[in-house]
Amino acid sequence: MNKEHALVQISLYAAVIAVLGLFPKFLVPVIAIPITFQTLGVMLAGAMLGSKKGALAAILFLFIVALGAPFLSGGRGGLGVFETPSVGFILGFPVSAYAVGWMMSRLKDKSIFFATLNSSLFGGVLILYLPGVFGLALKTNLDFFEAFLMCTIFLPGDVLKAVIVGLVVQSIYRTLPSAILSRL
Amino acid sequence: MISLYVIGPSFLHKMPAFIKLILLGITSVIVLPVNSLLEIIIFVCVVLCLYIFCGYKIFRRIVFIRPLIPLLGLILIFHIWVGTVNDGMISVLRLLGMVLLANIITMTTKMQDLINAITPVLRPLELFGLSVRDLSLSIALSIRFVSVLFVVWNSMNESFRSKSGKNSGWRLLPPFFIQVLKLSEVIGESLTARGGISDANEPKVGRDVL
Repeated sequence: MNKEHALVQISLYAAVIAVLGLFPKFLVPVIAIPITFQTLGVMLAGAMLGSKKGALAAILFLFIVALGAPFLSGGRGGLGVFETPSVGFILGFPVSAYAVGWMMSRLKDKSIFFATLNSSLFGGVLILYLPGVFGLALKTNLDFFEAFLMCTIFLPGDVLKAVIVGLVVQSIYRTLPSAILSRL
Repeated sequence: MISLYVIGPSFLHKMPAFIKLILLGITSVIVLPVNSLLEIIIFVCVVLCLYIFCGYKIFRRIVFIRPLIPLLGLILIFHIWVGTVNDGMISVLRLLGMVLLANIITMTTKMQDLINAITPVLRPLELFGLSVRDLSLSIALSIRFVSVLFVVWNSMNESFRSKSGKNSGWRLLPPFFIQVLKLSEVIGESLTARGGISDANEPKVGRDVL
């Protein structure tokens, strides 16, 4: 892949993260917790582009949001988002995408669904929650455990997103295997 | 252009972007350790005054913080639950004040001015192979992609609905991505055919599109 293609792919996935954040919120049945699809975009970027390019796509997305584009879920944007309690999650996007891509490269010999599901759970849930909970605790005067308790309501939605990413990447892999750069 | 910028004649509009960014950073450092409810209330009032001084067009955009309110409510409820009501009030008001302050800077600063203010800070990154010109092109491409993705999604969703009579939901994601990935291939080839990004003499693209 030459530099131009890499740049276009990174820009494309930054836009994908943005667009998925603009999708209407989805209510998880029974527990009625609203979830957005933004982190699904982050997981996808890592799973499709691999660690470095996935992280760069997430960094580019954050940069554009910081510049004032209202691309964060709920139509938020600008410097204000870095002052919100979810700043840890937002700044954790590049780390999360990197972790998803890194895990994808470690699971190359496994089935695509298994590799993507586990990579998304690892990078998009486990790794993302570390800065997320830390940021929430820092911004809200809660201790780390209390902040983690608050975040647990989003766990079912995030697990569901990891499953969706697994299914989507599996479908793309069947039709266009060369698009899964993390498997090349 | 997709941006939260609001045209206006206020003193914040006239203030250079880098000064606003520096002031925001300093305020953030000053406000973070404050633990007095009264001081935090004064801070929020000062920020609200900024909104009033910047005119009605800016003031009415105060509703932009609406998506944040459920989360602030949740934080307050959580603090009440663990018995730290005062801390909860301070946290929520501090967050509210800082978000409002950062938002007003976004609303009074053009995206290009922000890029220009940040570019000198990013220049040292060129030592590590990151081109500021490429970054500018990536920003322009991404913003353009957002509207393209919506168009592609809507047309595919329309086709799906006309055939099945219901919304596609996430089922449309795989074919959508395949179509978009093919499109990105074409764009990559077009960029290469036009001499590639490294050979461009002028950083025109970012400026023009933004």
